[in-house]
Amino acid sequence: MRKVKKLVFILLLTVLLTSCWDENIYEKVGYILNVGIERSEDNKMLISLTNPVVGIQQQGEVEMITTTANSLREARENGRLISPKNLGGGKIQHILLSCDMAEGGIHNLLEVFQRDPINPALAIIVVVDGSPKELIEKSLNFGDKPRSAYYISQLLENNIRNGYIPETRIYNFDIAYFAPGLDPITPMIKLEPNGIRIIGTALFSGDKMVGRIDTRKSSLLLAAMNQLRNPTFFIDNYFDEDLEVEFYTAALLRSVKRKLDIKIVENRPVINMELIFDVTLDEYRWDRTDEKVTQMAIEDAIVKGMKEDYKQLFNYMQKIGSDPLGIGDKVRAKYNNYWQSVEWNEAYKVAEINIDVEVVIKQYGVIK
Amino acid sequence: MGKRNREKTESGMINNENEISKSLKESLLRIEEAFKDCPDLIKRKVFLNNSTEGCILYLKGIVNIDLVQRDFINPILSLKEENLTDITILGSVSASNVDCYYDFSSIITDILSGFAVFLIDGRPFAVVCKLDKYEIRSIQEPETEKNVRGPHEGFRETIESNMATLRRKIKNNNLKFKLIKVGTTMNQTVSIAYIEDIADMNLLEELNNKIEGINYDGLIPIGYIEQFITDFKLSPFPQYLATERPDKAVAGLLEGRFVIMQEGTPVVLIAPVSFFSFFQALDDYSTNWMAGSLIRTIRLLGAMLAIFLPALYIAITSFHYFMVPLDLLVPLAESRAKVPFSPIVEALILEVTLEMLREASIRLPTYIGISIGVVGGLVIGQAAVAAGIVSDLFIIIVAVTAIASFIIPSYDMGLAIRFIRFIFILSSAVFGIVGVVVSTIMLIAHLVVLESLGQPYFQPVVPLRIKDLKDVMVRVPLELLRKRPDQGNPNNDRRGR
Repeated sequence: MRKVKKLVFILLLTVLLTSCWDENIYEKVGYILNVGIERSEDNKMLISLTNPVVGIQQQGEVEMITTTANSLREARENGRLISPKNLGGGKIQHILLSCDMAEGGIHNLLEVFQRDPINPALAIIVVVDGSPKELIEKSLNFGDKPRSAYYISQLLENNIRNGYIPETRIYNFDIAYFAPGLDPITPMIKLEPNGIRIIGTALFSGDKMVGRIDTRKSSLLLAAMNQLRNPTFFIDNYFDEDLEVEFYTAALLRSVKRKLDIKIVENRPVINMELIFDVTLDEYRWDRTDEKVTQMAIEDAIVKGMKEDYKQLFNYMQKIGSDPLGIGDKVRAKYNNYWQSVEWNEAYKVAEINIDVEVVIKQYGVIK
Repeated sequence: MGKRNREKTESGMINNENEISKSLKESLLRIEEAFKDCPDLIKRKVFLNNSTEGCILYLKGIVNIDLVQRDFINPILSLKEENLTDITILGSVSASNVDCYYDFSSIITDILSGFAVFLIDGRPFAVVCKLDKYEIRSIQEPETEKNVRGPHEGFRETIESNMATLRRKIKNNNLKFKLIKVGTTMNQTVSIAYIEDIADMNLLEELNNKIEGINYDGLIPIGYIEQFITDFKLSPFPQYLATERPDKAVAGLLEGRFVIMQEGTPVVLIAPVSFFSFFQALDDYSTNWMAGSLIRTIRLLGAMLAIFLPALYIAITSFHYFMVPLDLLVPLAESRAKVPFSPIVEALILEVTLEMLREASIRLPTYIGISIGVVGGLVIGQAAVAAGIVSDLFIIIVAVTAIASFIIPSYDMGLAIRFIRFIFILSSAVFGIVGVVVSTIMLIAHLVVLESLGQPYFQPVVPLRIKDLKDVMVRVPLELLRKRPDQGNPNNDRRGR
């Protein structure tokens, strides 16, 4: 009988006290979507958080909390002292870092996202040219754009899909950071008067930002990294003297085949990379594009433009010492003795990188 | 208790002089004593050859008196005095089902079973003749198991007509019926149908023993038998497939299963069955295999939705907000913003109301049923949201769950799933998604352990029978279903020659 009573008591407890513990009902949580981090005075960080306001009367409103703190967790706790909702980081979409933060190294800053399993390792890391706080503040009042965090995340998502910026979520960043001989890259954005603009890619060396490239070079870099999506590549076409306008040819890069060959010649790494692009001719001019000669000419023009760009890109990356391609990683795997005998950062800077590009126009339209 | 009583009755009968006395008066007295307060017992005295007294006894309403008169009494009455011996009487009566008894207890059971009994003064035997006539309803399509392309007939309440229905469908002398008497008071007949060269005789033996072992006064619907012979009484899942459709029973027989029929109910039980048998309907087989597979898949999906959907809603809304995709999160949170209850209370309010509605609609006549739809749909659905008791999304979830559980062809399986849903709801409210996962594991473990008549219930998935998987989620074309499923342990598993 006593056993039965005990059992009934436990059953009653489970039913009656259902959800009295640990409950985290979602309309009572303020889910932080934007996080902006920059430096402030007195050795602190200026952290901006936004969360959408959910209520019966509020439609499309966003709460923004700006606070100075010494850690991300402290910022959240500070936010909880202000916000009506229980702020939680489970849905953070992206982390906006100012350039000075990124240049100083961010790896330890992001540790909280791996330590607390509720924080998503899926948040995208973005470097902002300018102040993240200002960017978030302005983005609240764009009017013709969706709620701030939605706007930024849709913007990033679309451009990642189009292949103009890399997809750098926290776990991608951490993987690239931890692998010796592989450096992370992140997207970069900038505040404009009436919107936010994708301006390219921030290049890192270790966890410190060391340089930046524009979207055109970013798409080529992604192609070299075998992560080509669907960017469009432009080269000069002709100059119309009546209109006084320079017209460009547009080529949609559809796929790329990469051949990467790494050798050590005279104690110096020699990298031969061959990239074969399949492209669609998107925009040209009235010409006999069905003829082999014209096609060859266009292909050659594209190859020329690309080669030039690649040369600049790799020279720049060698100069700043950023290796997002993971050449060091491959050298480490293939020529480990060599890898151990040199300081890779220095060896990378003097490495010989030859890039050969081939372009095949797979589709040139139906126009004759 | 029951057992003791039974022994007493049996021994009491033996103590009586069980032989029929030569004196008609004495016999009638004893019968009258046995049938005290039974106004439906008709005794009609007649004189044979104007001298010998005789008496016909039968129960009103279950005997076709016209036929008895013509084919049983008239031939006897026309016999001469010296021909009134048992052998001659049996030889001269034109009715087919005639017998001759010398013991008293047989007469009584025969009268009760619809025989007409003829006693003759001075003769120590009784002639009995079965010309029964019950009022039975006409053949109708079972209300609960409609189908589109199959036959539209259902079983009826009398066991003879049900056996005849099967016999008419399977014209093969290997179709056998094993008769068993059950119900210590009601004396009902139960028949196990099987096809001798397909079914496993060991299983028949087992089933037979189980049914014979039932010790109960009366088994009203066949669910009584089901519960008595169920091996796993603590399981919510039906382990015997109940159906009113002869075509389903025939399909079961052809797969080497047994069909248990009981007098007085149109529902028969098919055993052994697997979990997946409850999601099959004859229409899956009578239509194109692609459409059949689609419908089959939708049914299984429906069962999963009916079990998991409310539980997942509660787990996610109460504990794991980060599992909701961003685009959905804000609209969802907005829909719940004015609900004052926690998700579990919200869910229980609506789920319990829905179960009440469903239960009410089964009992009520159709014309009141319509108003239930109005009350349920408009008042509860619309007003509950407007009043802020439940959220819009949860109304949709409950609606989807309800529809999903309606598409399960078997009522018993539907009940089991309704029951399990509440367990899932409660465990997800206490433990979140972990509760759902653990409950799922326990559910699967339970299904794997379960047996139907000693055969694994979750076959062909566990234990894996790859060739039988052709008829679980997808239903492959009939030409590829040449083998009978392993479930019934058939001793001849090839369909066709």
